[in-house]
Amino acid sequence: MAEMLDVAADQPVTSATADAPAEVIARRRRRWRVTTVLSVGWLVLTVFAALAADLLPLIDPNLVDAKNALQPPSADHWLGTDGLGRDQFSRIVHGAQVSVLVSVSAVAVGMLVGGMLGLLAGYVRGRVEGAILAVSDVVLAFPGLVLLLVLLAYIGRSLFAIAVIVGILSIPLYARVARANTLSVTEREFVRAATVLGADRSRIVFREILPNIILPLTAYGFVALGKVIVLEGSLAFLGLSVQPPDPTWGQMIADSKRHLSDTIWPAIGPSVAMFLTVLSLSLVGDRMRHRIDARAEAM
Amino acid sequence: MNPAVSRTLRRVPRLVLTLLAVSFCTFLLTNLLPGDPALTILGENASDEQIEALRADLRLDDPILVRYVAWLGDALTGDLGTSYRTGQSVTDAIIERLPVTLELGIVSLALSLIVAIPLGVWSAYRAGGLVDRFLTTASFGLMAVPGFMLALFLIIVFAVRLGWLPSTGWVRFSEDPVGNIRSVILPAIALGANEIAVFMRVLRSDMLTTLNQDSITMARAKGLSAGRILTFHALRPSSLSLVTIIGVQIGAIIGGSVIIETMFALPGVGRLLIDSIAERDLVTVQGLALVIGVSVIVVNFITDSIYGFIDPRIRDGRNA
Repeated sequence: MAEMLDVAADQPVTSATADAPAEVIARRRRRWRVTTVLSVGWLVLTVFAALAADLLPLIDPNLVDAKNALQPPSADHWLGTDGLGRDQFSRIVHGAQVSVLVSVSAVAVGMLVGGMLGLLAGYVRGRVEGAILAVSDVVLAFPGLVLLLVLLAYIGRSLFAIAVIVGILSIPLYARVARANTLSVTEREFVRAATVLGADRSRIVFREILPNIILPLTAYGFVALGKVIVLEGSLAFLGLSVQPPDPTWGQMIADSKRHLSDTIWPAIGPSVAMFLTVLSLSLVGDRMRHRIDARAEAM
Repeated sequence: MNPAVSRTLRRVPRLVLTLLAVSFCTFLLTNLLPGDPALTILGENASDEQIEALRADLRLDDPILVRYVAWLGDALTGDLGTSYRTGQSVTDAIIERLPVTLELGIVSLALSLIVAIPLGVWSAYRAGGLVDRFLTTASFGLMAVPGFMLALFLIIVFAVRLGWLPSTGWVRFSEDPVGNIRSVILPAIALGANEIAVFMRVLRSDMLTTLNQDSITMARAKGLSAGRILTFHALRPSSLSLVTIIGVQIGAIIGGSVIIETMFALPGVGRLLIDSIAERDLVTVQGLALVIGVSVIVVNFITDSIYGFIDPRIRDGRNA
């Protein structure tokens, strides 16, 4: 999964504001705050849409109305209709379910297992570390999308399979992030102090180290959520995601390709929704990383 | 011996081990199929004779390690098996489509580097300035646009509305060089746009570090022009991470070409993978997985070796 999820993992962290005068930095902080608030707002909205889609007074997303196909936005259909006359707005709201479900479960699997393995590798070192790193090198050798496609071909496709396979394939990435952070945390005074004071190993791992690697892992996880959403979209484009008629953003964008010579409206709504979600996730993840760096410097 | 050469040689055993592990995993794919692999590969309608023939062909009655060694031996001599759907040799099918994917990948890599290097250099040179801040924001935006989405909007603008470039299809270079270039432009942009943001950010951050060093202050004090300093004094020492990242991104480009080739109907390796998956042509899928996995590992090995040759600290055996 390297290239798909590998955004924060190995990048050197350099201060973006190295040369900027103090006033520019202050202005940038304020600007960041606005974008962060907007990003979080959009993400909350997306999660709400996913949770409440079935309860909201929306038109049935699968209601076919051939007479009103490919309509531009109007009072009846806020974002117009697709090639079968289905309401685009309702389909986008329902499509959020798939995006949220797949991305959150994939990231949860990867983060839990990968985080634990990385913690183990970074704390125990020695052969355990060597073995974990060797296996992760082999998994990362394949282009993630190719491996995912190949596995889906053998295992069969379903939302559950996609989420689990993506989760498993991304374990090595979380393991790397967790290991790198564990290595640096283990060197710090409070961990040494706990060791000297005779705390047992499980206490050191779970009470001293784990709380300090959760934040960097989560920051990484936010960016990864966006990557998984894009991945589901790519699969939909290849015709390998959820079966129609249930809406997903990727499926909707893929569908719109057929009507490009008539109208581009069906492409706009789902594209904007996906773009804003992925952008918000990467902005929030980046903001978290900056906060962590600032905190680490202060200590 | 030259330290960079010995550094490369020292990493060969590990390369071989990784290659073996990857090939074994690929081999396991068809062998871990639930039920009888022969039946899965041939489908429900296969006759008993066909299944018997395939079982013999796959050596299904031998122990797994024996089968692996035989399979690996075949693969090393260029025999990846025969597709049971088309009857074509998998090696031939891949070789036939490889030029398309290679051209697409190389053009898109070249395009994104041509755009990313000047932008990265400029935003580091004027760090915190208007251009830099715009580019930082823009690169976030660019990273949030999936390849398939960009491809769609490129098709809308340049193929459907303006009609400048074809939206689908491939023209071979030997048949019509101009047509070939026209058919590769849009796919290459769609494939490489994300890389622009990645390359730009990496180069910018390395460049910032370089520009703060004494050698650059010295060059400035000598009165050299900014352009000369940036291109001759600062770019090379700043390009080390860029080289590594290019190696890492090769995987992303191969993965992305699967989608881009499908969108633009290009007859490349990625398209072959999708078609084989759709038709459950598992022998071809396995062959492709092996070829792609091995190429990514080898390319990464090569870029990592280049790194040793261009970094004087490693090349001359000095301590960093």
